[in-house]
Amino acid sequence: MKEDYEALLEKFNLLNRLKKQAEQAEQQQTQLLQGIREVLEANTTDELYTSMFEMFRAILPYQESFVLEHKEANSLRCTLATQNALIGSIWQMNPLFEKVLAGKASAVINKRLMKIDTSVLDSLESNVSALLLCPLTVRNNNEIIVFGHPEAGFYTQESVATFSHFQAYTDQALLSVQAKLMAMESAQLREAKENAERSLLRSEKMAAIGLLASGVAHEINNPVGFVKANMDFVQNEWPVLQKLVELTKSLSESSSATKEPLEALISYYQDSEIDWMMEEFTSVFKESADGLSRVENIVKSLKSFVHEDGSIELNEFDVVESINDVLILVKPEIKLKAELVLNLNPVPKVKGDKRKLGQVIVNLVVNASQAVNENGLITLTTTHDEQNNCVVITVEDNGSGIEEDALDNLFTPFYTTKTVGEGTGLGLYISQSIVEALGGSLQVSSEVGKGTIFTILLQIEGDESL
Amino acid sequence: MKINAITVEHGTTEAIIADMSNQLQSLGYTPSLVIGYFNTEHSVNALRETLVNLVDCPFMLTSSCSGALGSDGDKYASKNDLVLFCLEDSEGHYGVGVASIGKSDPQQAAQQALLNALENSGLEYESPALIWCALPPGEEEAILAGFADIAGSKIPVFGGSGADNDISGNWQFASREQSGSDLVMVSVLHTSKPLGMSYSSGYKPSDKTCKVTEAHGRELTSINGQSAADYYDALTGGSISAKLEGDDRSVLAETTLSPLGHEVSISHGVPEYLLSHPSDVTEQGGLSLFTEVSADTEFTLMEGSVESLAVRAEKVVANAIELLPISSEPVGVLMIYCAGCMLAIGDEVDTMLGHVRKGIDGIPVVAAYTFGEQGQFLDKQNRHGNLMISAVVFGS
Repeated sequence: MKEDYEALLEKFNLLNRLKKQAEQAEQQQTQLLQGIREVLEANTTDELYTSMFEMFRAILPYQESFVLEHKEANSLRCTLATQNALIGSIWQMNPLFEKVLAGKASAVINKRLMKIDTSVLDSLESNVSALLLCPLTVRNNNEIIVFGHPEAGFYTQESVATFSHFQAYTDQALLSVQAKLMAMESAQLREAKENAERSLLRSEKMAAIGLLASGVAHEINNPVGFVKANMDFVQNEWPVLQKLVELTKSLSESSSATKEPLEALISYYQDSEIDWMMEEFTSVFKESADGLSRVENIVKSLKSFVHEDGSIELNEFDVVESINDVLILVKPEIKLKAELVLNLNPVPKVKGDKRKLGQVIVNLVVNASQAVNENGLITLTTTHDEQNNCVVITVEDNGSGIEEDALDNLFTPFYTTKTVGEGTGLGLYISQSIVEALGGSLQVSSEVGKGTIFTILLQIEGDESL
Repeated sequence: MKINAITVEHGTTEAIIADMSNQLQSLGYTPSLVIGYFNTEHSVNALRETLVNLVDCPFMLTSSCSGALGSDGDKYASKNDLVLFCLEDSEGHYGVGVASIGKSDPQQAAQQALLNALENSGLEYESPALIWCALPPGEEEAILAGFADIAGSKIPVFGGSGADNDISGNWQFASREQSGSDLVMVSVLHTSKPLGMSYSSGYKPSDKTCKVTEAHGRELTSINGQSAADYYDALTGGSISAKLEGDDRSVLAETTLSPLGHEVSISHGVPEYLLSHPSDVTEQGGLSLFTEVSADTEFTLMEGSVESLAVRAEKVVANAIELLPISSEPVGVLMIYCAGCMLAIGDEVDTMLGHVRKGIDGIPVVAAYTFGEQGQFLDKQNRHGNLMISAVVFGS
């Protein structure tokens, strides 16, 4: 009977232990898979690291954990850690690291027994003593994940076996982390690039405004000048009208038997040439209204051109309208140097941001005006290429043309053939970027001594063949 | 991994050495570690010198009560004058460390011995799979505390206290470097293959319990407010009445099948009991134990029998085998069997060996009969107990 009791007791405890081991393994596996899911769902780097280290906690308790990357021959660098103080720390290669990098996990009883510099760990408040170093293979690179615990000897060969059992999962988990990190970094880079491009666009636009400023100022000064002259005329003639009003008032207040007020009014009307004056007033008002309208249009165009709220419009727009909007800005600049010929044929609408296309047109026309000599001719043409289902915009000049070797570098950033101070070297690069962002292309052909043609091809909605 | 148990049953020291030498030379490999047990009637120095010349690896030799158990294939005996557990593991790392208690306190000696062993293993800062120890009886708790100072409490510490044949203090220890009677010896085993371990008592709890009201170190002064010896005597129906007075106060034999058990909680399992074996009635009416005890400890009177102790070892070994990974097969067994139990079952020790052999199909087994047993229950805490049995199974 006694033997039966002992046998049962022993069996019961053994079965319990095996059951506990199995349950623990199942729980660890579930938590690990859940952890991998959370890693993949992380939206920020902080969330990502937190999920990753929590996932590892599911299989091995630890106070601190960090990942060492083996990039230099004689050292490893900490790239991920539960404590920021560990990140970036350099660890000299030693036989233990070599062993782990070769694929064998190892439990360290107490870091003090290691004859290596662990001062970065000593500086932590967590007072880590026992270490568990496990190999990780991420994208064929061997790395080490280290777990630390304050209790000496906390990690045993059982811990090593546990980690080895889950190594395929942990490798996968770290791979997920790396992939997610790359995706996040890629998004950050993309955002930085977009910011830089926006900044460049703004700079180039401001440079264009600078170039156009004198012409625009002249264009505004003209109407402002004659409106002012008209106002002077009105101001000068105003007393005559006031006198006429006073005589008319006297007449209306006098008795009908008295003739003098009427005679005085008629006499004044005839002497003051009121009919001529009224004609002049009509003309002055119309002229002034036209002048103010011109100023209003210029300011409106300028405002539209300069406007930058960071948004990108993706509506369908009329290319010809977009060109007309900015011509008012460039005409004054070029009118003294060249004749602008417009062959703006109606074309189908395209999709994109019309303000950005305007910036390209300004840039190309201003470039053309700088390329031509006296009696220059700049021709702006829009056509619908039905065969290729695209809108074609050409800006053609009869200037000096561009050398062939210069043509190759024309769209390269900071490349310029202009003298210092005349150009940033970014205009054509930015123009090309804008047109490509609109889904089109910008091409150039040139013949020295004959002139240059810039051709913009914009796809019409529904055609992605460009 | 290769394991062999070299056994030399009886003979003069010279004859034993000659037989051992022959068997060692026929092994066909150089062992990575040798753990040996011998009857203290033989000169430990003579054995040590021979081993130093014959094997180029760390070793530890410990005296075992009335010899030691050894079995390898068809060659086996429950009491051999010498047994050697020879282990070859070219991918593993092994080291033996020794420190004399005479030069320091037991805790410091344990620290030093373990540090030496770690350093000698070549993996001085890595957690070994097992710490196997041989300790002088009397200060085991302090020695385990010393091990914990260095390695913490989770790395399994198994082994047994050295023993002589009549509790006269004639236990002996030797390593490659030194020999003596007050040595803490420890082997650290960084095995390349898995291990299975089991630590258990072969006793059943009775419904009789009591509480320690006064104790000092290993002397249990009073139980439930009464003289400990009187209380124990009453609890066991007068089992030690004859020893309460007079010159012969030794109660080892009388208490072997009725030790005191301290419950060790095991989560999700039936509690295990760590046993304390009363050895003498003190002049003040207390009981001397082979373990330390403290006031307020709850004791349960345990019940054992010759039959249960004879079959127990096989169960402990079987449990250790069960704890090997599924893909691993046992290739050798190191066992500790309490000397008190061995003496209590008398000739049934052969039956015990027979049961063990039946369960392991001829693989090498070495067992020592010790005056104290160290090991881990399922709660993974290292402990020192009496009347315990432990087994470490080496897997393939």
